[in-house]
Amino acid sequence: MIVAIIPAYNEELTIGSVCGQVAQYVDRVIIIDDGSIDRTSQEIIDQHNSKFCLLRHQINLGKGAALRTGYEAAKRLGAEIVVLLDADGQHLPEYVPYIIDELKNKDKQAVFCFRKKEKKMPVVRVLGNFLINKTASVLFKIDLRDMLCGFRAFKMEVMPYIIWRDSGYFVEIEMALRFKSKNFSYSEIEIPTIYNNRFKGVTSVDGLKLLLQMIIWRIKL
Amino acid sequence: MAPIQLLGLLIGLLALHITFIYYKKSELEKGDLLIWSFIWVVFIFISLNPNILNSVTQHLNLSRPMDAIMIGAFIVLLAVSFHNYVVNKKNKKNIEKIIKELALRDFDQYK
Repeated sequence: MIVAIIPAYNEELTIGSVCGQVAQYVDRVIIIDDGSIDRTSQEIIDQHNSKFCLLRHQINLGKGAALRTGYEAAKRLGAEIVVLLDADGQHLPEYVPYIIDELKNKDKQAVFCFRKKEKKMPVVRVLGNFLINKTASVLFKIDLRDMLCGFRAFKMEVMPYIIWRDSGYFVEIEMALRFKSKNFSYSEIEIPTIYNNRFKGVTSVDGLKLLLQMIIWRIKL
Repeated sequence: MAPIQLLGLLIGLLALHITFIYYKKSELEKGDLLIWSFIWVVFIFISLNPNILNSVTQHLNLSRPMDAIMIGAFIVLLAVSFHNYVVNKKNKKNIEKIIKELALRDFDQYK
């Protein structure tokens, strides 16, 4: 069984279309409404799609916590492959079949997507991504091209080894670091860059905190 | 009485008063009231009689009682920060556990 896990926080504008499109390529779609104050959940309910599993956090706990809930749900469904993607439309669902193909037919244990470098990417984001990838490369000898991209997939068997502790946006980095520390096989797929909202996601302040957190992980992991 | 001693006395009395109000509002228990009242009384006593710290400052090789108070206060703040950090981390974990269980409570309908 292939399951998509989509954490969402105030994504009423895009959640419906993202989940509707993803549902074409997977067996179930687990949506975790992480304490949204808009119509995120209602948009899912209104679709009446039998593939959807809607879970609701009564308060906002953060992306990492939402993904943990999603993982628990995927376990209960007996998922063999989990595909993680964002609810804001930055990750195009039509790439899901390519991701699944890498996992099934090329016997990889994970697929990480990386965003194509394009002029429309904000300069701060380009610099931030470069700095974070470079730091990860130096501290952890990790060579993923885009550690902050949340579009990725894993075989369920590796998930217990990479369960993350971070509850917020750093989950992507922590997941990748834990995965690499176990030497599992993986591949990377290029995806287009889409930015819908400049004021969501990782900010420059988060980036600075992340650099400090990576030093802490270097000691702990 | 030096102005700083007067300030210490006023702060101590205010703190005692606030502690008592919290007790009356049932936000502190009797044991908390007794402990905190004792702390504020000691604070007032030291403010009015700073010379009682002379033996402490001599043993610690400090030149002034104020230095001993500052160092002691810093150590207390560090200890309180550490305690808060541990408690906050535990609470965060427990909150997530409850919210996750609530979210998954009716999950069987999807199986």
